[in-house]
Amino acid sequence: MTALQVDVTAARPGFALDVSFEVEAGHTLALLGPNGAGKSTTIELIAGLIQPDSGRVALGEAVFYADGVAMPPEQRRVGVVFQDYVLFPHLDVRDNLAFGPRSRGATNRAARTQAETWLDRLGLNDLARKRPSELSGGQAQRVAVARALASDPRALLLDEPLSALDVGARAQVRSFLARHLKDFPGPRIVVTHEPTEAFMLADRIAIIEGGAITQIDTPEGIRRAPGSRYAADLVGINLYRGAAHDGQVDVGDGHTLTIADTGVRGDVLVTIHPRAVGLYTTQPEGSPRNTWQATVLDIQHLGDRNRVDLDGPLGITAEITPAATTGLGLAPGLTVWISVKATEIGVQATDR
Amino acid sequence: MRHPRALWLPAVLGLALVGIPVVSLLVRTPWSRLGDLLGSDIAVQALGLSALTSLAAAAAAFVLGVPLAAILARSRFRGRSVLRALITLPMVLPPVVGGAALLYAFGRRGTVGEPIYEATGLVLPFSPWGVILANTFVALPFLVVTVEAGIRNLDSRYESAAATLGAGPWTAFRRVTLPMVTPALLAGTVLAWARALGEFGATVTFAGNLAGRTQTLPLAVFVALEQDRDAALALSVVLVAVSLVVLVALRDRWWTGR
Repeated sequence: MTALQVDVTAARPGFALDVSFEVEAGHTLALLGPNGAGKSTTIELIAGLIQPDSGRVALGEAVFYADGVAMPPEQRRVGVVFQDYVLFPHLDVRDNLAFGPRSRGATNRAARTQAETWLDRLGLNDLARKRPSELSGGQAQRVAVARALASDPRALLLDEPLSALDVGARAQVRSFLARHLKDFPGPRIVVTHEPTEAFMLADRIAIIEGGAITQIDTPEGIRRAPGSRYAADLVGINLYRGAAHDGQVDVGDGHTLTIADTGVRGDVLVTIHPRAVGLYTTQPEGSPRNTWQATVLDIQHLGDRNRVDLDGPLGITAEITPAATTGLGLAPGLTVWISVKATEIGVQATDR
Repeated sequence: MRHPRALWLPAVLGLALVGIPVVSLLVRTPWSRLGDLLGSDIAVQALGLSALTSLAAAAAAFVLGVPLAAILARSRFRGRSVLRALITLPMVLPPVVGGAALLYAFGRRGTVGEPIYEATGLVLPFSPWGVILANTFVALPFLVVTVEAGIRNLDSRYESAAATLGAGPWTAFRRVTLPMVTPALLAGTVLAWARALGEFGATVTFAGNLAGRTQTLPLAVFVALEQDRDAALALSVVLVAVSLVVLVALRDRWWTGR
């Protein structure tokens, strides 16, 4: 197993980065955090585009940085997908893909054959002879992923791969990434500030705030027990996979949620913010609501609010004020009614 | 935008200051005898020598100037601004002073010229090599300034992306940086060539005015003004035409800043 090990400090304008983590081969780590938290800096440190002040970066046996000695980026074989693609405008798509193999010593013909193989594998054949300026944002980002893969990297780093895209393209590229990332055998890192992206693409999530990692866990672990206010706000959302049809989403175990959008069909990702989950001691009445009964598992106190984990046909977390907690007399083991408005349920198609 | 009326008079005078001499030159040119005048031995020699030396100087400026521009644009070191000022000095220095400086450096007794002469017997001043050297001296800054601006405006992440794809610094420079600044390379080279073609002061000081050997087009015009006005006009027309073609070709790249 070739794991990517990062343990570095770096002083940057405005903040100090101090991070330590490991990504196993065949696994995806999401670096999730607000802008300016040090996510992109971490990517640049691993790729060798900037150097840390101290620490160690290694990919298996290959030491990228240790004791002030840095391996140049071109020798690291770390593929990087940049937020705004950075495709070479003077080369067509095929030659953008061939650039990596050419730089590593392949003949022109061999490099082009390799480029065509990747275009084929990723379903981008139609774009081969186009210039980057002729591509849409979604196409350009898929080509950028293909270019990184075609250079035969041993680790793959994606720096906010979706944030430059509009909503429609974002969903397409996200499912493209979900499909093709798992075929890449080395360690993978996705930088994002969107919890949904992290949940859909990563096996583990590292929450990075102010240059430091405040929590590393599986998406489920972070969702159940966010380690900070920020994490709670960002990833403490309820997430379910399901199948949508006619304004209903089947989320498994026979449980169905009513949603506002009646047009969406097929596989979807459903998000419900904990603050949108209402808790009642008796069955709430009226309006097209989702209501069901559940048992309180646990209550976490996060300052001015409490997170209530609930069991039941659909495990869910609610966020309510301490006053409401007391008012409802909530305690582990108590059975309550849950209510979620159809309009408060986010639905995103995952397959196109 | 509406222009204040007070701007019009000086603006028109300024235009006239440049336009009237050029028009006068064209009006006085003996167009019917142009072929004969340009076909004279002196004219043919000057035209040939100018073509050769200006192209050689442009080539030398390219080979030496592009690396200089790349280093100035992409590296950070102490004294970089002093270096940049030094390289642009020939743009503002009186060419005669440049020619004198070249004599002290590359003359037979010069700091570099003397060892060169003793080792090889080569004498640079008053030779076509001297013309090329003087032309390169005045033309180099035009290329360096133009190409440096081109590289500095290029997002360095293209080079970073090339590095992550396995390209070493030389490959990245050759296959990413240079192709992406092609417009600046073209503009810089053409400007350097045009400046070399029009060179007078440094050339006459360093290389002299030997017909057929160091007498370039501008020198031939100067000499002909004393002896054969029509020949001077004919040669001037050639220089005006070349200059106009260059400026029209570069109009978008050079003065709109791209």
